Amino acid sequence: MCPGGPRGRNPGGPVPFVGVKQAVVIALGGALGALGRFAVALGFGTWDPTQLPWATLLVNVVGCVAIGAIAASALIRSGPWWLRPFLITGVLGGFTTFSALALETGLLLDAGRILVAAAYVGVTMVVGLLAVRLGAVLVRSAT
Amino acid sequence: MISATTWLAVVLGGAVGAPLRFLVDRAVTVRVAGVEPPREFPWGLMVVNGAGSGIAGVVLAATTGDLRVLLLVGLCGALTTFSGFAWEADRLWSAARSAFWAAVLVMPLACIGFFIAAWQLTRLAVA
Repeated sequence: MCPGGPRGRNPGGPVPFVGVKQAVVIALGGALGALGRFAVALGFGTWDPTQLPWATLLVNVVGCVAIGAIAASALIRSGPWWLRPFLITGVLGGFTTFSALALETGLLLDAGRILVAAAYVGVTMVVGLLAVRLGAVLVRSAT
Repeated sequence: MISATTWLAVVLGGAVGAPLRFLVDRAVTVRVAGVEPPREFPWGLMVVNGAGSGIAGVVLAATTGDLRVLLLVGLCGALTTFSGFAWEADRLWSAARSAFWAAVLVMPLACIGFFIAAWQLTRLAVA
C-alpha cells in the first residue's frame, strides 16, 4: 500500500498515503523526465508560434507509448516498490506535459492559427490515446 | 549554448513539480473518489493540469530567462502530465464511457482556458 511510508506513528488512525521515500523517488524521476523533455525541445530548436509544436507532440506521444508499455510489463508488478513511482509518476509524468499543450494552443489561437490549434489538440489527444494502447500491445506481443 | 544554470533550473523545477503532482493528485482523488479511482472523472489530474496551465500563463507573462525556465519548463512541465492523463482516459474508455468523453473534452479545453485567462490577466497586470 504505502511502501516506505511512515507506519505505526498513528495506530488506528488514517494511514498516510504518501511516504517521504516515494516523494524522493518521484522527484528524481521528475527531474530526469523534465531534462529529457527540455533536451527534445532544444533538439527541435525555437518554436515558431504559428506552426505545430512538434517537440511537445513527440514528447507526449512517446511518453504515452512508454506508459502503456511499462504498465503492461510484468517487471512493473514483480520489480521493486520504487519502480512504478519512479518510472510512471516520476520520469514519464515529468517528461510529458499538459501545460505546454495548453500554452502552445493558447499562443496558436493568439496568432490567429485556429485550425492549427484545433489540429494540435485533436492530434495530441487521438494519437496519445492510441499510443497508450500501442505500447501495451507491443509489450504483450513481445512477451 | 545552454548554461549550467538553465539545466539546473529544469532539474530543480522537475524535482519539485513531479512530487507536488503526486501529492495533489492523490489528495484530490482520495477526497472525491475514495482510495481507488476506477470510474470517475480524473479530478486529481484535472486540478494539477489546470493549475499548471494557469501558472504557466502567469509565468509566461511575468518572467524571463532562467526563472521562466525553472517555473515553466521545470515546475509547470512536471506538475502537469499528459501520459498520466492518457493512461487514466484509456482505463475510463472501458470502465466508464461517459467519464472518458468528459475527460478528453473537458481537460484540454479547461487547461487552454485557464492558460489564456491567466496569461491575459497577468499581461494586463504587469503592463
